[in-house]
Amino acid sequence: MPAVAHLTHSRFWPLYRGMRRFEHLSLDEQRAVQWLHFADLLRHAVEHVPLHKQHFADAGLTPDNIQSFDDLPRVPITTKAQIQRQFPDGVTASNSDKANWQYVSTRGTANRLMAIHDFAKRDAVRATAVRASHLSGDYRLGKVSAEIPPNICNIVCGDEGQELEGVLPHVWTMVKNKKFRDRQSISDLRGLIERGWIFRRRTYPPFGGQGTHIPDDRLDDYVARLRRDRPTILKALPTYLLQIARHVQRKNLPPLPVHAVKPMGSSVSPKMRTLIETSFTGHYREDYGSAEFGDMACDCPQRDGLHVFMDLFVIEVVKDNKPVPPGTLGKVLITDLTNRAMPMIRYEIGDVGRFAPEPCTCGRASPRVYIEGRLQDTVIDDEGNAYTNDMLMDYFYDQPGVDDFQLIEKRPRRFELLVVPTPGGQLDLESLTRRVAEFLGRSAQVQCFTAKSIRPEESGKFRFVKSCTFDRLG
Amino acid sequence: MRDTRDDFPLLKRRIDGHRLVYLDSAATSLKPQAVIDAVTRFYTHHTANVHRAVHTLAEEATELYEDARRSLARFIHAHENEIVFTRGSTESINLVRHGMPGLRRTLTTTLEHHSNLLPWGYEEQSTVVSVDRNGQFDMQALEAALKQGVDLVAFSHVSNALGTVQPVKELTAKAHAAGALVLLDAAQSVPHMPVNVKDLGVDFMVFSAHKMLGPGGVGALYGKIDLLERMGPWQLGGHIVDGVHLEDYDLQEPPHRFEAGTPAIEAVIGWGAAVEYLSDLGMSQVRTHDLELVAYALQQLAKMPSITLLGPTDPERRCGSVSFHVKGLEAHGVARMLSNRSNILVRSGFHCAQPLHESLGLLPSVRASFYIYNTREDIDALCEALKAIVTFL
Repeated sequence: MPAVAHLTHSRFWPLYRGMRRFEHLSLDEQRAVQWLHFADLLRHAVEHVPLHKQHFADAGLTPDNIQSFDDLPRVPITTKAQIQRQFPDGVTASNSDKANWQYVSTRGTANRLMAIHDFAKRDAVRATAVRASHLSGDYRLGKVSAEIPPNICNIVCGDEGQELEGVLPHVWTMVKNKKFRDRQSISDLRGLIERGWIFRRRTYPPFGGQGTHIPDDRLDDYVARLRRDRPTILKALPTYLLQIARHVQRKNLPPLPVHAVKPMGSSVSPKMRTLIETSFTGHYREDYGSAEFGDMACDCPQRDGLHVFMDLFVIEVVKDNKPVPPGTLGKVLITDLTNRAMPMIRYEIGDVGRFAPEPCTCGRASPRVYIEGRLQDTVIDDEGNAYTNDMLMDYFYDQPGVDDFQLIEKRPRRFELLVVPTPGGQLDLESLTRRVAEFLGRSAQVQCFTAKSIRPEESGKFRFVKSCTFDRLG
Repeated sequence: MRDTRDDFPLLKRRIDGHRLVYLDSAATSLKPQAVIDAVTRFYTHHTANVHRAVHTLAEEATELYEDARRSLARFIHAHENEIVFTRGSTESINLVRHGMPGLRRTLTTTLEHHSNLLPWGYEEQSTVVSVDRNGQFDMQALEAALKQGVDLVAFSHVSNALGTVQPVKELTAKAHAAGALVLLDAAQSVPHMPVNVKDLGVDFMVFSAHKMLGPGGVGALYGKIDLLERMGPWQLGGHIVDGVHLEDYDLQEPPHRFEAGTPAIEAVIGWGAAVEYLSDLGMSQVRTHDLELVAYALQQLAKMPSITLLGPTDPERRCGSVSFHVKGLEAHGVARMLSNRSNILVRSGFHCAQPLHESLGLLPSVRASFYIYNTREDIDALCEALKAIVTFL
């Protein structure tokens, strides 16, 4: 990789080494570095980005008014709608070199966001990916990793960017078209070498539009691929991991040889983890990231929460724009300290979570965050109690006869529950309906139906809870 | 043509205080108040099933329903018994595919919407003729295939992806000379230009209500009456029969033998109102308006170096839409930015014409499509928004 990086302006290696060193700093030292980056980003954004300039002007603030992280609540929150409305000119830095830009599109469950990364951000994303894989999964370059991405629509939509050519065909195309010095071709080549030869990433086909439950022969195919490739890390949608794990158990197969199993796109509830771990030789591991930010946090061998990458991000958990005490659920805000082309400051990412109240016993100083699902998947009852995606998943997967589910809050306190019965299991729908209504609190009305599968959203991801009361969280 | 924008309630909607610029009419058109009123009036005053009961409401509903068929027939210069109501163009094509006896050897083109390719293009004796980057058929291949013997040629009047208008009369004459029937997919042409089936000479023609101001869920198959009489129903059920006995049944005459079950009554009635609305405007004026918009869009977009236009550059050879690529940006990204920033609603992707894109080596494209409620200001808004985006590339 250093040799390939040498062909470009990549700072991947120094960045990666710096990140590794940063992990050994004390909390105070980490926070000091984080503050320096934050203050610098704030000045840059207010000076060069129309959205942030306007935000500060509207709030009657200058960056100098923000003297410490205690002043964070004074900094205006950035919403997805604001970004979308003003993308790209209103949200990008006027002094950024556009020649270095790359458009990044997220496949959000609720709404798609576009972001721009400059060369430095792309380097940071790459280095952080390796850092997260190493810290959370013991991955080292050269080992095989595998992924099962969400299903996408290609027939009608013509989504691009999913089909990658091999390294050698790409080199041949460069030779044929005499593009030895073409910047884009070299960048693409580096990406292909990274993906195919260095990360040795294998991409398996998604489940498809059928939903959560696919035929056994297709699950057998995943089992065969995993036994053949023996990846160090497998990343897939939680639903895919769960179905493969259940298949292994149902067929009484030996555990699959994967060192670390990681969810993609959303988290896995604690009980699902146990089930997954029994079907793989390795552990369930977790990181927190997105296409627009890259990896932001990852777990440690204690596997109890995700350590924030404080050199790269500020992660806040707030309610009504005020930080909530550790252990309390709130909305997650992200500030990306490395994206100077399109600074994202206190961006409401749409997740809910809480900070761990105690330091981690692993020795890493950075605070740990628990991400408990999407805000839009969080049901809030009349008393203000929150039922997160994780809580509901744990509850439903614990119910006898329930293989999968989808809970849709059609109107406040009026729920439609779709249940995929466990094959060969006994599902008492009437009793389940009663129990669920009781679990969801006073005044909940539940109608229950059965289904053969839960279908994915248009984005290819799955939503098992759809709430219409999530905005009560504040 | 008169300014029609006030007739479309959706155009009064504001998102974040800004007006909508709807440039996706090739996917579906907006609905004028006249159509909304016709559907509402049916629900409010005339709800009943058709062709069955003898009570007042049933007779009124049947009259309104059949009146819509008459309006539609007049609109394309057909006889009313040559108009079969279906769920849309796709079902109309499939009705011919499954109902017309003797269709073994078929010919279609790579230009087609999936709905006119899938029913024909994958049989053992089917031929798929390629097109060039302007959407013109490979005439040598077409003539060679016709010489080999073809039972039916299926092609679109106007390409939904490139906007190309085909010389239907000329192609129909060639097909007929070779003894082939012709099915014309007119989903993108009937809404935009005068179409006279007798003049074109086609044997079958399919089109949909929702692309011509009407409600969704209904379309039509035009078929020459002698051909419809040779066809059997694809679906069996109520209304298609004169008599049913345990031993056999007697089919109704066309078009009723093809309309099994309760039809989309209110959608048909709404379509009738749409046809009256378009007739009042005058289809020649509609076509003139369309030509002006397409010509203006081509002219304005061509000024932008980052834009690569697809399809013919002569507006006379196009209808209804302009497709393009933006250098350095994928089509969905452009469409999302136009929508998020400026409420400009365009289509992006393969437009249900993946083989066309693949055969021409084209990436997914952006398509701006126009209709009677669009103006030059809409195209200016599109170009302004594109300029703002490409400035940042």
